[in-house]
Amino acid sequence: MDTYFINKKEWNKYIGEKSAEIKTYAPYESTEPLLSNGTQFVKTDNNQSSSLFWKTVNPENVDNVVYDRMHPVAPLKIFFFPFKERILPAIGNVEPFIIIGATNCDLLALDTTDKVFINNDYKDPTYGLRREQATIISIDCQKPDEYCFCELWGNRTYPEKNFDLNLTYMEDGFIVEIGSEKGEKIIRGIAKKEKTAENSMKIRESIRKQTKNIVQANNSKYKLCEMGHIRNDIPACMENKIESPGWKSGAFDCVQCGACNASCPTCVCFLLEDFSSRVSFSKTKIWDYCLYQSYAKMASGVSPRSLLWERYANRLLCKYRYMVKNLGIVGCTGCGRCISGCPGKIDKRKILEEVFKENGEYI
Amino acid sequence: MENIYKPVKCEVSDVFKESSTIKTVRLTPVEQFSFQAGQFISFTVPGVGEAPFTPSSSPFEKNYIDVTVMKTGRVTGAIHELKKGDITGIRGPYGKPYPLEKFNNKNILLVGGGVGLAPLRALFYALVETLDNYKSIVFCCGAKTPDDFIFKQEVFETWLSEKWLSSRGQVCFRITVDKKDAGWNYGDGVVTKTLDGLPCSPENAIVCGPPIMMKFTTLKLLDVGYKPENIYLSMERKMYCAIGQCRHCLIGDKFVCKDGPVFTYEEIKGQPKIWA
Repeated sequence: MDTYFINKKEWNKYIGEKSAEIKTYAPYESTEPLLSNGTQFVKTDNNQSSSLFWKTVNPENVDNVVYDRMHPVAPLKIFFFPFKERILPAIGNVEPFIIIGATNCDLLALDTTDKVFINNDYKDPTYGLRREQATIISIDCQKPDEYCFCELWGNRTYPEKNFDLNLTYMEDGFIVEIGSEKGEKIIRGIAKKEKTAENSMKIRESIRKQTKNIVQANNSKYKLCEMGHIRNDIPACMENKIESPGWKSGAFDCVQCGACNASCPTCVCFLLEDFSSRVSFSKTKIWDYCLYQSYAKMASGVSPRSLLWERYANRLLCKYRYMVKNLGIVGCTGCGRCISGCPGKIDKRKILEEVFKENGEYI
Repeated sequence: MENIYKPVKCEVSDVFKESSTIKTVRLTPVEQFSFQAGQFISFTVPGVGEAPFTPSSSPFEKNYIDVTVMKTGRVTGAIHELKKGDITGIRGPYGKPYPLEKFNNKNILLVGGGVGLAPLRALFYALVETLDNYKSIVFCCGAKTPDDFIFKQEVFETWLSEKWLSSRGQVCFRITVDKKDAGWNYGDGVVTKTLDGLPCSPENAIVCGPPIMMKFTTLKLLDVGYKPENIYLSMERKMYCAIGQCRHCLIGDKFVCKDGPVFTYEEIKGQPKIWA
């Protein structure tokens, strides 16, 4: 796809104006949590690195948008699959909106959420509307934290799909890559732009390489690193792993808070509540967390996963085996939020290593 | 586009008390609604919530749908409070029906325990509609006590009546309760006892009941020569969406709502905690 170079001042001017017409969200360095679509994410003590929160862009704050860091604390899914939403009766109309600053780990997760909510026999009443109305302006991740492990799965630190425009931030501006017709339309609206010079493309390459090196260096102590190339074999590695001792050591520090579920860009589980009076039909869709005791407990009191380690195992088996089987996609993009947000400081990479280790052949 | 969560409005046209904990609610949908035996519906009590049930009435019955419900929790509690004239809703039908075509020219064994007789009643009515297609039907019905035995009047006065049997020679019943009382004229002992000395060779078995009953029935069926791929089990899990999105009903990688609710033992035997 075509690429352009756009000066930062020019870009900010454009986005500032645009944000006055269309609701626009972007990551900001902040100590205040974002409040959007009923979803509130706060920075936890354990969450040392990312203090980026999605906020509404306006002409006054447009200069403070962060383009050169990593993913925000809250996953991108909150814009399409909000924490709590009435879906019967559902809203019939969604206004167009713009999201700036999505990173590849979140964009790849859209494959999972799209598959569940729109590319399915049944279409969710609102997810598709939001997807259609959103313009996604992604960025190259440039400062991954110690919890990021996208490269371990062979995922890139920069977007390759699922964006309308992608920005690579450089000192005085951006290399802008067009990813769709929607993106092209935006570019047509910006008068001052240049075709990218070969030199800028070289800079982009070196930025991307540098980011990759950071992720690899941060993960060099995990032997999983050598497994980057076996991404497609993950489900096979998980075969017969229902009772692996690795799960028990993972569950040992789990406090069942559901932070990993909430912050995961591919977690799609929800429950339905009926808050209506006794005369009308109403349903509200709310995120549900598989680490909770109540998640699978039936009315009789019986649960197929009454023990914590069974629920912990189920979460990871779901990501790496069940989702592959029933959606055709590995349910993990390596964003690392489940590690950075965990109050029990459980490092999933260590747990997976332990579980895979029993297979011998990969490590 | 129609909202996938919108139920079809249904008026409660009758309520039957089956036992001290089980009721059958007869629903009259305001628009055309049909299902195949084995498929399930999501039943809404407005203002309370939704729960999945396999209808217990004949799929050929066009005027109403029966839902037989044991009172166990919040939604089933509200269902037990329903009165004639109340408005409820149903969504569906969802899931895969019983594969009747696979039963052609075969012996069919039905084993039901407690409220598990409900889906089997719908299946039984579907089978007798095309009875000539099957070699034989043996229907084993069990319950804890005579009070817990559901559809009593129908089973004893209609299904077991001589006239009815004489016209359908290849159908037989084996009836038992775990613990009988003075007024009980049928067998006693757990339902697996009825699987001793079956009058038919082991071909297809359809089992529905509480998890413990399904487990021991499956083990017994394997023991007497049924193949894992010919044992059909009705699975139950917590469920919300019923359309393969919310992921609550997964048994390993299998959705009860989409891949089931009826599975062969072969399909699920490798999955975790199948008997819950």
